[in-house]
Formats: sequence, C-alpha cells, structure tokens
Amino acid sequence: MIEHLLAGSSAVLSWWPLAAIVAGLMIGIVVGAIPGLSPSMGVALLVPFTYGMSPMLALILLLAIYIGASYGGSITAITINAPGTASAVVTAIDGHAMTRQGRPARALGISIVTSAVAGMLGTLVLMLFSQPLAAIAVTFHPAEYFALALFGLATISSLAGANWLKAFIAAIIGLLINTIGTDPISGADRFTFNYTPLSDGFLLIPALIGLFALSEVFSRIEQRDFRRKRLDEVQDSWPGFVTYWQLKWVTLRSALIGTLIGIFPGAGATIASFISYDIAKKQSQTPEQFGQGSDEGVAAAEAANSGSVGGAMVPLLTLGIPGSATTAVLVGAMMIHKLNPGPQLFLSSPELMYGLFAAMLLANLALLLVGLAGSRLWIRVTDVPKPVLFVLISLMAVIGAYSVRHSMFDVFCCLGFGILGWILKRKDYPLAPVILGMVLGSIAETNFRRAVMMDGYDVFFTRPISAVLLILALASFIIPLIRMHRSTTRDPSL
Amino acid sequence: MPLPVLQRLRLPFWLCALLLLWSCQSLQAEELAATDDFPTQPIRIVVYTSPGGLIDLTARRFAEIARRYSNGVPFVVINRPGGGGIVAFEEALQRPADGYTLLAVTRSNISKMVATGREDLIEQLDWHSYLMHNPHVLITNSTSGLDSWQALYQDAIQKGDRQLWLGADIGGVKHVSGVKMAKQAGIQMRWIPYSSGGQAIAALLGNMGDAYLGNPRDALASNDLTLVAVAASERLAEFPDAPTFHELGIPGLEQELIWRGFALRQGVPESIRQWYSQLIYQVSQDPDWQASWANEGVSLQYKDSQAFHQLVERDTREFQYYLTEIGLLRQPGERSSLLAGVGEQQARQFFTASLLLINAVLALVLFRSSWRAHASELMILSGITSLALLFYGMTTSLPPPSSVDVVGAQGVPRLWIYLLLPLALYQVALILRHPKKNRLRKRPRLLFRFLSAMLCYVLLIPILGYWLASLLYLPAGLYLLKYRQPRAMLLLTAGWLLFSYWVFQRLLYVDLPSGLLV
Repeated sequence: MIEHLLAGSSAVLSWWPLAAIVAGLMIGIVVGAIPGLSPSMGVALLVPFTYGMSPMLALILLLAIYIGASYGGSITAITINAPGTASAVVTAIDGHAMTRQGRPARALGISIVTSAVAGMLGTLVLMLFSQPLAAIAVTFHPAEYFALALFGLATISSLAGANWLKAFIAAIIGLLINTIGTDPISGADRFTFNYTPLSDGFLLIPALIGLFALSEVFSRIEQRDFRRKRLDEVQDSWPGFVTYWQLKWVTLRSALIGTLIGIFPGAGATIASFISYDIAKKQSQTPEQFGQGSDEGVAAAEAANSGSVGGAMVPLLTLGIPGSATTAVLVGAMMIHKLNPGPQLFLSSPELMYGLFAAMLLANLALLLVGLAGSRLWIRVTDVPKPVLFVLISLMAVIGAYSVRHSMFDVFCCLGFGILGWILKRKDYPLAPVILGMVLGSIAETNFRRAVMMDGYDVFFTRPISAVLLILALASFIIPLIRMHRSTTRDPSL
Repeated sequence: MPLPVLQRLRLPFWLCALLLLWSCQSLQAEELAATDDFPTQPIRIVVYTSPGGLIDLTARRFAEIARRYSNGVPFVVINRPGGGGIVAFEEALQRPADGYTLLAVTRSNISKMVATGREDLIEQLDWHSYLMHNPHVLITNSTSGLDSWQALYQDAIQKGDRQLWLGADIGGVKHVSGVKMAKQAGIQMRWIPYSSGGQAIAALLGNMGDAYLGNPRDALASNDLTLVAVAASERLAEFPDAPTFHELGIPGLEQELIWRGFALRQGVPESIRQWYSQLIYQVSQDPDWQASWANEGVSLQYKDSQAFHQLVERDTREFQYYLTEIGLLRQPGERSSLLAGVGEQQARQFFTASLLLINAVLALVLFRSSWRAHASELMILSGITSLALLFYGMTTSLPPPSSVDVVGAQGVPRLWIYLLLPLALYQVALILRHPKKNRLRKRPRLLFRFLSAMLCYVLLIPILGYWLASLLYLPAGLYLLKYRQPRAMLLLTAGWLLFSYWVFQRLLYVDLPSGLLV
C-alpha cells in the first residue's frame, strides 16, 4: 500500500493537480455558503468542465469541490445563522451564538481547523479500512437504520436542555411535515390535497432557508436590531494552537463518529453532526455552555460533518454504491471518464485510487489555508450595514428556493417556513429539531416499514445493534422527562 | 415631494436608474430573440432526476459527443427532479417550441405518468428518438447459496410469499417487471422498495433479501453477485454465463427492459426535428459513444420517431393493465376533490369547518381574556394540534395495512400524531399551571411592513418578472429598513441584478421568471 500511496502522491504533487485542488475548494466553499446551492449541485455543475481532463485530474477537482462545499455551509451558519446545508444546522447553534457575542472569528477559526483535521482523519480511515468498513456497511439491516434514526432524534433532548418539551414538539412538527407527499413504500399520496407540487412533499432546502435565514431576519427586524456590531477586539481573536489542542479529543471523536455514520448509504452528514454534538455535550466538562457559544459544540458539529465525507467515499470506491446525493454525482462523473467504481478499480488502477487518497489529504490541508484566508473576508459580512444584509438575505432566500426546482411554490414555502420559524422562535421553540425531524422522518419511516416487511416486528429487538441503539434512544428520551418533572415540581417558575 | 432624499439626486443618478430599468426589460425580452439558423445558442437537455444515475449519465455522455456534430454548439445538461418526471415534462412543455429544449426520457416516465393519471403529458410530447435499452435482470448474492435461477426458484417454493426481492422503485418499471416475472414463473415474491438501486444492491450484499431486480451493470458492485436470469431474447455479451428466462423455460419475458431516448415538445418545426434526427443518428454511430457503453449490458439501437411513438403507446397500455393489477392505479375522479381523504364528503367538510371554528372562537376568547399574554403561544399549540387532527382524519383514506406492508401508509403518521397530542397537552398544562409573567410585546409594525413588502415581491415575480420585481423590491426594502443612501442603493441593486444574472441565469441555467408583461 505504501508504494501505491507514494506513487499516487507523486502524481498529485505537480502544478495542475494542485491548481485543481485550490480552484475546487474555492468553488466548493462558495457553493456551500450560498443557501440553496447544495454540494451535489456544485459538483454536477463542474462535471462538463472536466471532459477534457485526465480522469485523475477531473476527480481531484470534483472531490475538492465536495470537500469545500461540505465546509462552506458552516460559514453562513456562523456569520448570519443561515446554514447552507442541513448538516451545518448544528454548527449554527453554537457558531452563531458566538457571532452574536461578537466572537465570529473564534467560531470561524474553530470550524475551519476542525473541518480540515477531521477531513484528514476521515481520509486516513478511508485509506486504511475501506474494505472491512464496506463489509460492515452492507450488513446494516433496515431495523438498524431505523434505530440509528431514532437515536438521532433522541439527541434533541440534549440539544434543547430545559426547553425539552418544546424541542420535541418542534421535532414532531418536522416529522409530520415529512410525511406529506408520496408514500415511499405504498406509492399512495399522503396529505397532498391532490396538489401536484406537494407530491414530493416540502423540500428541505427551501425549508432550511426559511426556518433559519428568513426567521433570523424577521426576528432582528422585529427587535429593530440594526446596530453595527463592533467586534469585541479583546475577546475576538483568532484562536491559537492552545485552543485547538484543547479540542483534540472532541475533534477526534466527532471525526470518527462522522466517518462511521458516513459509510452507511443514505444516513449521512446530518445525523452524524447531531449525534456527535449530543455525545460531545454529554462528555463535556462544561455542558451548560452548549447552545451559548461553546467551542466544543462548533468543533463537534464541524468535525463530524467533514469526517462524513471520507465515510461516504467508502461504499463509493469499494462497491460503486453512492451513499449520498453528492457521491451519486461522483459515480456518474467517474463513469463519464470510463472508470467503473467498484472492487475491480482497486485492482485495475491502484495508482489512481491512492492518488485520490493523497489528493483528499492534500485538499484538506489546502482547505486550512484557503479557509483561513477566506475567513478574514467572511468576517466582514458581520460588518455590512444590517438593512443591506437583511434585504440581501431575503433576495438570496427567494432566488435560492426558486432554483431548487424552478418553482414559485418553493418560494412561497420558503416564505411560509420563514414566518413559521419566526413565530416558533418568538415562543422559544428551537428550530434545529424541525430540520432534524424533516431529515430523519423518511429514514425512520421507510426503514421501519422495510424491516417489518422483511422480518416482522421482532427484528428490532433480536438484532443486537438495533436493540442497543433503541434502548439508548429511549433512555435519552425518558431521562430528561424525569429530570424535568422533578425540576418543575421543585421549582414552579419553570 | 414626500421623499426629501430624492430631491438631492442629480441627473446621472436618474440616468443610471433608467439604464437599470431598461436592462431589466431587455433581460426579460432576451429569451424571445428570433432565430433563423438552428442552432445558434446552447441546447438544454432536461433530465428528470438529480445528477447521478443512468439517465443523467446518458445525457451527459451524449452532451459530450453531440457537440462534435452540432457545429460546436454546446449541449447543457440541467436536472429538474421531482414527481418522477412530471416537473421536467411540465418545464419542457412550458418552454417555447423552438427546439432548444431536449428532454431525456426513460420507460420509467411512462409508468409514473400512468400511475399518477397524467397520461396527458405523454400525449403532449413528441417522442423523437429511441437510443438504447438494457434488459432487466435478477441478481443474487452467491454467499447466500442462491447462485442460480433453480436455487432461487426452489427457495421461493419453500418460503411461500416470504421470498424478498429488492428493487429501486414502487409502482415503476422494475416493480412491474418483478410482478410479471413472478407471475410467469409461478412463484410468489415480496417486493421491498428502496430509494435507489445502490441502496438496494448494498442490502443484497448484506443478505437482507434474496434477489435484486435491476440493470446488468449493478452486478459489477461485487464479485459475490451473480446474474441468475436475463429478461431478454438473447444472452448478454458481457455476461455470457447468465441464462435468459426463455432458456429457463419461462416465456413472455423477452421485452422486460428499460429504454432511454429523447423527446421534444410538440410543435417544433420539421426542419429542426430533421436536424435532431440526423444528429442523434450520427452520435449513435460514433465509435466513442459506442465504446463508452461497452461492458454495461446496454444495447444501442436507434429508432426513429414513428417506431418510438408506437412503443410508447404500447407501454402506456401495458402499465395501465399491470398497475391496476398491483393496485397502484388511482381511480379517476379522485383528483377532482380538494380534500380527498377525510372520508365522506360531508363528514370531512364538517370536521374541517369545526376545527376552524374552534380555533377562531378560542383565539377571540383568549386574546380578550386575562390570558392575553399567553394567547399566541396557546394558539400555536391549538393550531398544530388541529392540523394533526386533520391529518389523522385524512389517514383513514390511505391504503390500510396489508399482509405485505404490515405497517401501512397510515401507521407512521399516526404514530407521530399519537406522540404529539400528549406532548402538546402537557405543554398547555405547563402554561396554565405556571404562567410566566410575559410582558405584552408591542406590535412589530416595521416587521409587518417588511413582510408585506416581501410578500408583494414574491407575488409580483410571476407578473412583472424576476428582474423588474427585484429592481422594485431591493430599494423599497432598504428604504423600509431606514437605509438612506441612494447611491449605495443604486449600486447594490445593479450589483445584485448582475450577480443573479451571471451566477443563476447564465452559469446555473436557472430560468428566472420573465413575467406576463413581455
């Protein structure tokens, strides 16, 4: 393997691949940062430009975009509370809290460094263990996917703290919204009122833009919060090495969680970031800071998100099976370049595979440089006069929601979700659980029904992984209930 | 003049503003530019799926090679996923019949249009060229011991209706093929739908099911996978060991395939149709095109419009028959009523009306009572609960659980509703028992004004077009939020319009609405 890796690295270390990495990262970061453009759209957009390139160069460019876009979503999450991708929702919780405290540089610094480090760790795992991991990924029964989704939902209790009850109501709103549309198992129309645009249900991206970006704008306008925020010069310095070193365990753990969950086709970065945030909070010395601008919160979310890129590449490279929207585009791109992703690719062109691994490592290193340089620019966003910022966000929301599938219906949905988000936020209902419900709803439902169709109801308890995950999920659901009951009986002010 | 800031502005400012208005107008008119020679601008290939997947790949490979024969005019693949093709079809039908929109189509579209009662879309298209097809195949995982059709058959006889076939769709081409295969072979199978072929293959590799029904190339994912039967008249050159159903003594499965081709909207001038016929034929003969499909079990067969139309008609009839048999075809008339589902018409209307009435009365009472400070929060909960109850009522008309789909389409939504109701009641109880001292907030006047401006903007986009509506909204929104720097406003407006034109319209091929005025 070492000699393949060395051969691969030497192919990557020349001008063109390096230029492709930097260009890809920059495009990816911009795509990820614009709400409404997803990493898969970014990669698909660039596929035609790679026709004339060698397969290696083409894939390096596309992978760099994927890596850049996975990080880019966190920039707008931190600076303006408008996560560009669903997985950046968790980053927004603490990242934007830090911005509101006048410390955006700290949040941006932590997010870029943990992203890059976790990206490299994910790549290392991919390089060393892709074959055994792929073998594990395919043995995941639908019952276990269901249990994983429930476990993801249970993280809400730790996400919300004292607001536990409202958070669960918010999550169920998301789950119910998710049931609107064509039923994935029976094909029947559910709650669509026979209205064609509803047959695919409410799309995630317009909902995400509305719930986060628009509701934030509406709340700030309501509070007439137009002051230009002076950055806190004393507190807001770029974090130093000591800070990162203190976050080493959170980063490492979250990166591994992200990579592991990333390998399961269809699970993805969003569950990974919620679960690792939950675990980070439970393991933390200062769990009370989570949600109020915790360094560990940002690190956990970002590391899991970036780690999942390496994980998602496992089934793609070993079996040719795409586990996410972006890897599906990558399969197409590989086939256009006459490469058949799958087990034979490792045998037929090992130098290409190891070249790609080397390129992914290098791209994460470059992400650190490009991202840190870019962050100094992004931070200026917080300096833009608020009226200008608010109007621009509303314009971006409209065009972003429209471009998902060219429909004014989505624009109205986006505005509707914005108003819903504003109303909920006004009454202290957290918004992240709504998105979590929308993402996990269909994973939970389809796998629950598939599992029962295959092996009956018993299967959830006879398979060990599923049983353990379900018990853990139930515990995280029940424990806060007991705690809250105790605290309300003791302290009537709650 | 009511706006004193505007009085200070001089001629150059107004000239710039006029220039901006003019460019918006011309942007909207741009699409109508007449063309004599075809083609003079990039041609769009609309794909009905997200990027990735075989039809997207077909379109992209075609785009790459077709450029050689189109005098350098590029082909651009744009993805319009949604409704199994309905979104893409509707988009192609809305665009002018100038031949600049080519629709990449597959047999799945026919089954989807039939299943959703949208045969009108099939009739409105010009099924221009048939490019290729590949047969459906049954793949098994040899580590499970099922490494031949005979083994799979014996297993099915033993298991009764518990043999699991995995596949990518519900009520689609593959599902129908599976039903036909089982019927012809005289066995029973349980169809387990997955959201993508990749996920289904992964499940087969993990031995979650007994067989997978899909495309031949799916067998390349692992050496453990065996192609046990091919639904074609001859064996595939790439998989010479895999027998056809005919050889196995099972007739009537020679045409179980998925085809791919191109369609135009009807009304495209004959000269342009001819141009496409020639181009698509040339591409189909191109050695690189042919080489790119080698080893994938695909047969490249060019068919002209007439043959393609006949095939589409035949497939439409076939899907009508089989989808009715599976029980997936909606009854005609179901589309007419808005609230199909709450049960009997009157019961449903009564239910909806009473929910509305209860909420209205509750709102009236609460906002005038001593609970005023909590009224909005209680109304949120009441609204959510009412909506959940409405959904619950609608679940009664969903397909009930069956021996195969034990949970049924109603199970999971009901579960969420059962969870929501006690939580919402508990929250209400908490508010009533321990009312926090909420201070009454002032009416957010500024926000309501801004919201109205945004709503007007969104409503005006389809009428005035994106450019004019944005030109009006941007300065108006800034002015509302008390921003008073006309030059910066002008620059911002121009900057935004340029950005949205270059990034969205030109680079991403997002057709921003051009409005009714043009």
